[in-house]
Amino acid sequence: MLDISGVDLNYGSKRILSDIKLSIHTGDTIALVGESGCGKSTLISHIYSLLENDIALCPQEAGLVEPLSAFHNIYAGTLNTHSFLYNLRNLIYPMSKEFAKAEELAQTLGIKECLKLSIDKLSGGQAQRVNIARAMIQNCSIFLGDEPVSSVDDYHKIKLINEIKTRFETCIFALHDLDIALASCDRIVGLHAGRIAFDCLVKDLTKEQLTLIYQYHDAPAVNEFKKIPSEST
Amino acid sequence: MLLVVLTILAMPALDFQISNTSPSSEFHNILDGMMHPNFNIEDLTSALFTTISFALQAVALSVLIGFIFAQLFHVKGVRQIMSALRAVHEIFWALMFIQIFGLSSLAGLLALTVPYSATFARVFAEIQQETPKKSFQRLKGGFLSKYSYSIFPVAFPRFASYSRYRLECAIRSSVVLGFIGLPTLGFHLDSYLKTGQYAEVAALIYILILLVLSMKLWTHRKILLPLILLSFIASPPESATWIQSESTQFSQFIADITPKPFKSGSHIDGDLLSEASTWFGDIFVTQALPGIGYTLLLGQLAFALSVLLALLWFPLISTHLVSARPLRQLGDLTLICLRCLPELLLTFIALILLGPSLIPGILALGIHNGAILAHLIGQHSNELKLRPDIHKTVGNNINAYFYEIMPGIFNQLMSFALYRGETILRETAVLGLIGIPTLGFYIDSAFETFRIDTALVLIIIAAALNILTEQIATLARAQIHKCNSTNFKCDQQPAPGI
Repeated sequence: MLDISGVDLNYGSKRILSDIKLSIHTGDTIALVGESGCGKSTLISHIYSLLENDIALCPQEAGLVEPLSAFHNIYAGTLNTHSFLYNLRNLIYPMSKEFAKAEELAQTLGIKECLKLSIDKLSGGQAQRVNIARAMIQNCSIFLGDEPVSSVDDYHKIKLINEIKTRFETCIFALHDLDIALASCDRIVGLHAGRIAFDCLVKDLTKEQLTLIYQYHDAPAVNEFKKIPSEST
Repeated sequence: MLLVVLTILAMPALDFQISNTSPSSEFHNILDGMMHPNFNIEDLTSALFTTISFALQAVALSVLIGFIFAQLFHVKGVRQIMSALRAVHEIFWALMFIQIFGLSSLAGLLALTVPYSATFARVFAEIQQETPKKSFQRLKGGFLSKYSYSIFPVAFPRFASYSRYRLECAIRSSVVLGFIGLPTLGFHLDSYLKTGQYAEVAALIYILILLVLSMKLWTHRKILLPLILLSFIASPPESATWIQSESTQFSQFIADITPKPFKSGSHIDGDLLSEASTWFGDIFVTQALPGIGYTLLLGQLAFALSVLLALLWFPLISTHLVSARPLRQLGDLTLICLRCLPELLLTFIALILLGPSLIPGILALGIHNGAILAHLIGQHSNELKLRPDIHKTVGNNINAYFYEIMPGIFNQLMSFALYRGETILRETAVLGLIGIPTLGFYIDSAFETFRIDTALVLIIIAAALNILTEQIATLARAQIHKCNSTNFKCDQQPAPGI
C-alpha cells in the first residue's frame, strides 16, 4: 500500500530522521514508539502527505475550534464532501441527519452527552474523543493518529483503540505507552537516535527489548536492537 | 517626553483669553436648565427615531460592506482606498452627500456608512489576522466552508462586540449630523442651544445618556435584528423630495467640485496652469495653512489633556485603588456619562460658558477622550497582578498609584492614547463647524458660500493630514510595543480601533 525507502526527513531546516525505510500493508495495525522528540510526529506528517486522500488524520494538536460545539467540530471533518450552503445550514441549524451520524460515533466513544457543548467546556479527554470522532466521520480506510488517546485513563485507552480498529482497515498510532502498544497492535516500529531502530511483529518482541528504546543513545541498546527480527526484511 | 515638549511649545500660541463677559450668569442659566429639564419638545419622537434609525441602518450596512472588504484587505489598493475613505470625517461626507441628495435620510445614511465601512474593514481584517490559523489549515474543503467552520466562529464574538461599540459611536455621529441640518436630536440641540433654552437642552442630553446607558438592553441579538429590519421598513433611505433626478443632481455636483480655473468659460486668458496654481496657492495660504495650524495645535493640547485626565480618572474604577464596589460603579457611570456626549455638543456648551477661543475645544475633546481612556485603562489596571504583600509595603494608595499601578499601565495607556489621537485629530477639524478656526471652519464656510470646489480641496487636505497622523501613530505604537516586548512586561495587543 505504501513504501517509503531511504528518505531523510527534516523539521524546518533540522534533520530529524535519516534513511527511513518503511512499508505499510493494508490491514496493518502499527504502533510508532520512541522518546518525545524522536521524530514520530515528523514521520506521521510525511505519511499523511503521501496518502492524504485515504487517511483520516488525528493530530496531537487537534486544532478544534473552541467556540463551536462538539457536533460542529466532528461534522467539520466532512466539509469537503458537501457544498458551502449545506455546510452553512448545518453551522446555523444542524440537520437531524447529520446530527445522528455524529451522535452514533459519539455514543461509541462515550461523549454523547457533550455533543452540544462547546469545546472549551470539555475536559482534555473529551476533546480528544471529539478529535477521534472527527477522524472517524471522514470515511477513510486508514487511521493515522498522533498520541490519539494520551489524555484518557488506561482502561478507556484500550477500549478506544479497539473501537478505532473496528472502523478502519489500517491503523497507525504514535504511542508513548508501551503496554498499550503491545496489547493492541500487531506491529511495532521503534524510532531511536534519528533512525528506525526496529520494525517487527509484536509476537517477536519482549517488553524488555521494547524498553531499550528509552535508553538514550546507548551503544549496547543499539546492539540489542540488531537482535530483533525485522519485519521489513 | 516628546509629548510634554510639544505641549509646552504649543501653550503660548494659544488664545487663552476668556472673552465671555458674564460666564457666571450663563452658567447659572445652564445649571437651572439641568435641574428643571423640559421634555415637552416638538417632534421629539421622530427626532429620536431618526437618530436611532440612522445609526442602526448605517452600522448594519457597514458591517456587511466592511466584512467583505476585510477579506480583500491583503490587497494594497483596497487598504489605501479604505484608509482614504476613513480619513474624511462623517460630517464632511454628509456635507458632500447633501449637495447631491439634499437634506435627506439617504445623505445621512451614506455619510455614516462610507467611513464606518472602511473602519469595519480595517478592524475586522485585524481581528481575523489575530485568529489562530491552525484549525483552518487542518480542515479539508472549499475556502468558504473552511472559513465558516474555523476562523469565523472564533472571530465572531470580537466582531460582535466591536460592532456594538461602533453602534454607540454611530448614535453620537447621528446626533452630530443634526448640527448640519439633518432631522436628528442634534438639530434640536443646535437650535435650543442657540436660543438659550437650556431646559430643553438638558432634556435632550438626558435622553441621549439614557439611550447609551440602555444599549445593553436593546443590543441583544434577538431585539437588535428585528429593530434593524423595522427601521429599514419604517424609514427607508430616500433622497429629498425636491430632487427631481439624482443624475442631474450628480452632474451638477461634479460641475460644482471642478476647480474654478478648470470650469469652462471661467478663465480669462489662456494660461490655465498658472491660474490653477494661483487659485490653489491662494486657498492653501489663506485657508489651509491657518486651518492646519489650529487643527494641530488644538489636537495636540486636547491629546495631552485627555492623557492627563485619564491618569486622574482611571483610579475611579480600579479595584486596586477603590475597594468599595458601589463607589466603582458610580465612577463607571460618571465616565460613561462624560463619554456618551458628542464632542461637538460639549464644545458648544463650553463655548457658551467661556466664549470663543480654543479652550472650549480643548476641554471638550480632552474630557470626552479622557473618559474613554480612563475607562480602558481602568479595566487594564484591574488585570494587573500585584504582589500579595503590596498593601503592607506601599503604605497607602497614593504610593500604590505611583509605584505600582502607574508604571504598570503607562505603556498601555500611551498605546491606547495613540489610537485616540487619530480620532481626536479627525474631531478637531470638525469643531470648525461651530466657529473654532480649524480646517472644518474653512470647509463649512466654503460650503455655505457654494464654493464647493474649495471645500473639496480643503477636505482632501484634512484627509491627508489624518492619514499622516495615522501613520505617525502606527510608527509610535510599534515603538512602544517594541519597548514592551523587550521588557517582558506586557505582551497584550491593544484592542483594535478603540
